[in-house]
Amino acid sequence: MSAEHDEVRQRFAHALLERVHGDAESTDRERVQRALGAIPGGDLRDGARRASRAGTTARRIGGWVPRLVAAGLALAVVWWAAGPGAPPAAASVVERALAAVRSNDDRHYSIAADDGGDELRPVADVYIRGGDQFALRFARPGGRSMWTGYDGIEGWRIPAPSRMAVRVSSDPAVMKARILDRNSDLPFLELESALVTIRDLYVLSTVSEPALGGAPDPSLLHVRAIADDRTPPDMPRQIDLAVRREDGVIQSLVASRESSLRPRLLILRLLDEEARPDGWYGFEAHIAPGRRVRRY
Amino acid sequence: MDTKRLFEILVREHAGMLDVFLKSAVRDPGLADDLFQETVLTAWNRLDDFDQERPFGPWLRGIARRKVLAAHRKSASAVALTDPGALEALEEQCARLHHRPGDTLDEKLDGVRRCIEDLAEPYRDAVRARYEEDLDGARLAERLSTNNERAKKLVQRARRLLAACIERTGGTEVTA
Repeated sequence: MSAEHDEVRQRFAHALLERVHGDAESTDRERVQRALGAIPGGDLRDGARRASRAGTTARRIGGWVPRLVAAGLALAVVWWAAGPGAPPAAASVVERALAAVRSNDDRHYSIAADDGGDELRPVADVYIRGGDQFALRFARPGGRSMWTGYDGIEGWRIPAPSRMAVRVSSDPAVMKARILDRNSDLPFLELESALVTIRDLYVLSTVSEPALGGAPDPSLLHVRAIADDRTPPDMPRQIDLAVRREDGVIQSLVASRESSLRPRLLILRLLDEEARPDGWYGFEAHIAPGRRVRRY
Repeated sequence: MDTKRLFEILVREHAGMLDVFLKSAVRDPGLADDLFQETVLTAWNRLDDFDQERPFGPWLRGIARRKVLAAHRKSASAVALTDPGALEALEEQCARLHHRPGDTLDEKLDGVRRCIEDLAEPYRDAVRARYEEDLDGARLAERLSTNNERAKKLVQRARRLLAACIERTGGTEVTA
């Protein structure tokens, strides 16, 4: 190997090591924000500010599914009162799901991806309370976990290596954006905003067959959301919701998109509804005593 | 969705890889940050030149590559990779990293994390001291209980082993 290519390999390994060990991803958002703010004309800069205040928007977030989640927050105010009419039955199911999500109950979901292989790829599991509190566990190699969450007051992230400090911020807009940016394939952190987006940016219909196959369950209502020209192109083309008829609790949510490489599904499934202890959505519940905490 | 919003989404999607590209090419982190800003600004100004049938990331990094070469003309010492061929090889590394499994850059880096865990202890310690504890020079040498020269070589060797591991486990093999 030439000296030149050895230098390339060394430098590339150096950049990857910096990225793995540092907090580079959480600073991406600020870096992009600065870059976009330098663009003359102001629209992007203003948009970015609006996005920061709103908590999240489609434009702030790196992956396609979080955009689905994110767009809801930014667009909800506008479309809440003036959403385009969907077939009443399907729309009412989504409204019931929204009401259930906004309740203060705890729910625990698994998130898995279907990459077209024989088995689903586990991505994470997420605990959700109300419209915005969540604690998400992301499996890392070697049996370790990375936790991230938001307790309604502080956003936090616990890196998998125990030597690394926990990152905490009381600026909810900034921290939530960082969390979403960093977990750009982890979709359903805010089910409420996901549902608002589904209600307002998709064509809804009721269906009788479960999206994931199997025999129809009479206790569930199924809604299919199909993207149309209102739906940003980076969002899933189809979303299938299975909602409990009795109380509107989401049993599963399957988001799919057309990929140039292979079909993709992201699947959220209800695991349990056990009440979690006080503090479960704060970082302290998930770290060992003495762990360093860095606030910013 | 209007052009500006699409542009912002695309930039956010590719910001991490652009950061890796620039941090690889440039020694000075401050300069890398400046080039990041300039690259995005230029990309916006030249958006009409972007072929929508082609991927956005390589196009963005192509702009960054020209920024790196221009920066080298101003300050040779701040830039590590100054040859167009080296920058082409770097782009190949980025493209291969992009095609590793995972939907996000963070997920694509899981293979790197596994390679770090697989390093022999002295090299793993060197990587931790240098990158996790952010030590350099004499402090790095002290932490590794050796002299400056030996500490530097340990880190260099660790990076070589890491690069080899990444290539071996798929995704970033250098072809030249």
